[in-house]
Amino acid sequence: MTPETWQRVKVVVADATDLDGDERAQFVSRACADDTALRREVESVLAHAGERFERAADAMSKVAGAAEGNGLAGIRIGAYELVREIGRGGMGAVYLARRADQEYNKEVAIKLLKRGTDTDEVLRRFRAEREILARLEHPNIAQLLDGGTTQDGLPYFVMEYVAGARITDFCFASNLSIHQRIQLFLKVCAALQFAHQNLVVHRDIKPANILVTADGEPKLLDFGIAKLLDPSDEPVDITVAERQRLTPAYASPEQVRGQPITTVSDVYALGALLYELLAGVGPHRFSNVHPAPAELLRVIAHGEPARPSVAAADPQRRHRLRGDLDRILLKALRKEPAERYRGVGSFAEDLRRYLEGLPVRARPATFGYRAGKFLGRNKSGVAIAAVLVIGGIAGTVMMLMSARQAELQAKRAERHFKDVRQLANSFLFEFHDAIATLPGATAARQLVVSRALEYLDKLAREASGERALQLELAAAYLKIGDVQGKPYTPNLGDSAGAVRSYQKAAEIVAPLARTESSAARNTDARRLLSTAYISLAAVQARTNELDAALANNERALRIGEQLLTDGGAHADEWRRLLISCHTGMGDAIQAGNHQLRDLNRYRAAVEHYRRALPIAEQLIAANPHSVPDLVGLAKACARIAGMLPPLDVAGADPVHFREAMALHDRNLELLRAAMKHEPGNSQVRRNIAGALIAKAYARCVAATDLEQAAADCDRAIQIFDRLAAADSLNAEAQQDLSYGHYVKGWAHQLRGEQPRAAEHYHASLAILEPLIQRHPGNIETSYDLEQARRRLAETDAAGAPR
Amino acid sequence: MLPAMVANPQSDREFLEQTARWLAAENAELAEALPRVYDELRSLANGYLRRERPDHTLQPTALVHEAYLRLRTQRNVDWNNQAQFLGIAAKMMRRILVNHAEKRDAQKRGSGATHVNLDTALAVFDREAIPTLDVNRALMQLEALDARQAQIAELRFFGGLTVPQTAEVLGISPATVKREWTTARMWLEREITRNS
Repeated sequence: MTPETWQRVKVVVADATDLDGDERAQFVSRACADDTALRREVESVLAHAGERFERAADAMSKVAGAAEGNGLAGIRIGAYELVREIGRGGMGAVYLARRADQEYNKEVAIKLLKRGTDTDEVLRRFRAEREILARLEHPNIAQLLDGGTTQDGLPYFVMEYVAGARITDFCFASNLSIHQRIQLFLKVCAALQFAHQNLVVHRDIKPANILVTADGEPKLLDFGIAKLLDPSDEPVDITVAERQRLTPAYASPEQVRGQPITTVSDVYALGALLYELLAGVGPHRFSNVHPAPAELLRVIAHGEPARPSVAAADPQRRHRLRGDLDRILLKALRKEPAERYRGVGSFAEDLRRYLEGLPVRARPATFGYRAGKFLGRNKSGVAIAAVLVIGGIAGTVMMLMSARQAELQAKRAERHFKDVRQLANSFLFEFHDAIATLPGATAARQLVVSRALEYLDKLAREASGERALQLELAAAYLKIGDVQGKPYTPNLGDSAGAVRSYQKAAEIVAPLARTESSAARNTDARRLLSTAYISLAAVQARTNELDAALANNERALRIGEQLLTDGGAHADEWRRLLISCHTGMGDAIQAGNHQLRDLNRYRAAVEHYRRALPIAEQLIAANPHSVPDLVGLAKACARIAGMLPPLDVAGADPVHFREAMALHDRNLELLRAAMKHEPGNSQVRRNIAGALIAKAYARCVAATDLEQAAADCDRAIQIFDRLAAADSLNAEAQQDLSYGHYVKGWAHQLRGEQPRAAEHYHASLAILEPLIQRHPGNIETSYDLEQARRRLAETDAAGAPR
Repeated sequence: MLPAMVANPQSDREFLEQTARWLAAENAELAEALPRVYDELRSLANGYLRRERPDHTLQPTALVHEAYLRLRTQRNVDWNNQAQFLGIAAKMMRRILVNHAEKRDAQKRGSGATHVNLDTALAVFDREAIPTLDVNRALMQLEALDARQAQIAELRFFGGLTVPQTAEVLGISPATVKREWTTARMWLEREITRNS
C-alpha cells in the first residue's frame, strides 16, 4: 500500500465508522464508486474494530494517570475536562483544564485536593482558601473563577490559568538589568500589598508561585497556606504539617521557629526572592533541598546572610549591588520582624527611592553618601559638582586643621583629627564607590581619591606612629592606583602613575607586615602588601615588564604561602591569593612566547599552572558549592589543558593529549556544576561553550575523533549563538561565535569534507568582517580573520575539480 | 513537532543514538541527559520486577510512569516543553515493553520455563491478549504510511496519553486525534489478524 492509498482509505473508513449497518454499506459503495481495490481495502479495515487497543490504551492512561495524579487526567470536573497536571503542592495537584463542551477554548487551572489527605483540617483550610481568593481581584493575582466539590466529595477551585515562567527563570532568561528586575519586583510588591490590605498573608512566596507572562506581567499564584488575619479567625500558629511544607529558601525565621506569621513575614520572603533575583543566588546555603529541622533553624533563624554584593558571582553585578541594595535587602531579611521594613509598602518605597537615585531609608545618612546620591542624580555635571564638593570639603578640612593648630586643648584636637580622618575615609570609600560606575566618572574619581589622599597624607605625617592610619593610607594608595591604571577595569590609562601608587602603598605597609614585628600576626598588613604586589604585577604584565611582574607575583606568593601556613580563619582567601599568583606567574612567563619558541619558558609556565591546581582543588573541597571557586578550578584546568596539546611543536606526545582531554572534561564537569547553582550565569554558559571548543580544537590538532569534535562544536555554536543574540553589541560573543564556526570548519576540513568546511569558514568570516570594521585595532579579530581566510583558501584548492 | 524519528531501532544503543541526534538539534543538554534518563527508567522497571508484587499487576508500568514523572520534575534537565517530553517518554515505553516481550518470547522458546516476572510488565496488554511485538511491527509499517497517525497511536497506546493529552502534545484538535486513533487501531487490528 502507498501512503496516498492509505490516506484515501482512511478518509472513507473514518466517515463510515459514524454510520451503522445498511447506511454504512451504502456510504462505502458510494464513496468508492467503481474503485474496487479501494473498496476492498476499506471493507477489510472496517471489518476490524480494534476495540482491544482502545481498552489497552485506556488502561495505560489510567496507569499513567495513577502515577501522575489521581488518575484524573481526562476526567470531567464541572464544565471542565482535565488535560494534564501542571503542578503539585502540599495539598493537591493543579491541572490544566479546558471547557469540555468546547464551546470556546478557554484554558483554566484547576486545583484539586489529593485523595487520602482530605482530612477535615485540610478541607477546612481548603475552603478558607476559596474564600480568600474570591476576595482578591488584582491584575497581578491569579483570579479565582469558580469552585465546588467533585462527585467524590473532593473540593476544587478553578483559577485563571497563567502561562508563564517562574519569575527567577524569566529574569535570567530575558537577561533583565538590575533596574528592570526591581521594576518587575515592584509589581509583585503591589499585588502583595493589596492582599495585605485585604488581611491576607501569602506565607509561601517563592518563584514557583510568581509566574511572569509573555508580556512581562507577574502573577501571584496559590495563596495556599494563606490565612485570614481576621481577628475573628483562630490565632495564627504554624502546624507541624505546615512547617514541613515551607520552602526553606524563602521561609522566615519566625516561620521556622513556629512563631506567629504576619505581613512582615512576607516582607522577609520578598527580600529573599529579590536577593535571588539580584545576586543570582539565594541568601542561604543548605546542605540539600529538604534540610532537617535543626539545619533550618540554624541557617534561617541564626545564620547571617552574606551581603548580596559578596554573594553575587559576576563582578559587575557585585559592584552594582554594593551599598544601597545591600542594605535594603539585609533590612528586609533581618531576623527580628521588628527590625525589617514595617510592611511591603515601605520596602517597595525604598526600592523606588533607589531607582530614582534618592537616599534610601535603609542607610544612615552620612555626608559622603548624600553627596554621592546628589552626583548620581545629576550625572551631566559630575566633574564640576565633584570639584565644587571637594572644594567645600577642602575648606572644611582646612578650617578643622587650622582650628586644631590654634587650639591647644588636646581633647578637642583629637576629635578634629578624627573628624578629618573620617571625612577623608568616607570620601575615599563611600563617595568614590558611589560615583565609580557612572560614565565619565574616572576623572572625578581621580580628583576625589587624590584629594582625600592629600589629607590622609598630612594626617599620617602628624601621627606617623599610628598603625591603623598607616594601613588606611596604604589602602588609599591602592585605590588611587586602581583608578590610574588597573587593567580590565575603567582607568585613566596612567600605568606609570599606578605603579608609583602601588609602590607607595607597598612602602608604607611593608614595615608593618613584618611578621616578627608585632601582634596579631599582621594579617591585615600582609593582606594589603600582597594586594599591592599583585596589583603591581598586573600592571607590569600589561606593560610588558615581565621580569618585574614575575618578581612581584613571587613576593605576593611568598606572603600568601606564609599566611596559609600561619593558619587562621582566612585560609580560603589566602588560597585564592595563591592561585592568582601562580596563574599570574604562568601568564607572565608565557606572555609573548607564541609558537613555543622557548620550550623552557613553556615548561615553567605549565609548572605554575599545575601548582595552582591542587590549591584550587582544596578550595572546592572546602566550598563545593561556591560558584567563583568552581569557575576558578575550571579555569586552572583549562589553562593547563590549553598548554598541553601542541603535538606538532612539543613532539607528538599521546600522554599529553590524554591528560589534556581529561582536563578538558574536568573543566566541563566543574562548569556544569557551577551552572547547576547558577543557571542564569551567562559567563559560565560561555565558558562551557569555550571548553567544548577547546576540546574540539585539541582533537583537531591531534587529528583524532573528528566527528566528536564537530559535534562538540555544534553544541558550542548553539550556546554562542544564543549568547550573541542576547547581546548583539557584545563583540566578545560575536568573536566566540566566529571561532566556533572556525574550529567546526577545521574539523570538517580534516575529515575531507571540503564543502561543509567552507560553509563554516564563510560563516566565521561573515561575523569577523563587520567586526574588524568596527574595531580595526583588535589583534585577535584580525588574527582570526587571517586564519579563516587561509583555511578557506585551502578548502577551495582541495575542492577544485582540477 | 515530533518527527517519526525512530523508524526501526535495532538496539537500545541505536534507539538512543537516533533520539539523541534528533534532540541535539533541539536541546543539547537534554540530548546529553537522555541515556541517563533511559537507564533510570529501565533500572526502575527491572528493580520493581525483582520485587514481585503479584497483587498489583499494573504497577510495573505505573512505576515507569512514576520514573519519568520524577525525571520530568528534575530541574537540571531542561525539558523544552511537555510535548517533547511526552513524545520521548512514549517512545521509551514502547522500547522497554518491546524489549521485555522479546526476552519473554526467547525464554519461552528456549526452555519452556514458567513465566517470569517480566510478564507482569505487560499485564495491561496480556489482559487484552495483545501481541506486543506484532503491534510494534505493524506500527512501524504505519510509520511508513502516515507518520503522524503512527505517532498518535504510539502516544495513546504506549505512552498512555488520553485523547485530550495527545491533542495537547501534538497541537491538534481532540476531534482529529479521535478520528486518527480510531482508524489507526482498526488498521492495526487488520494487520495483526492478517499476519497471524
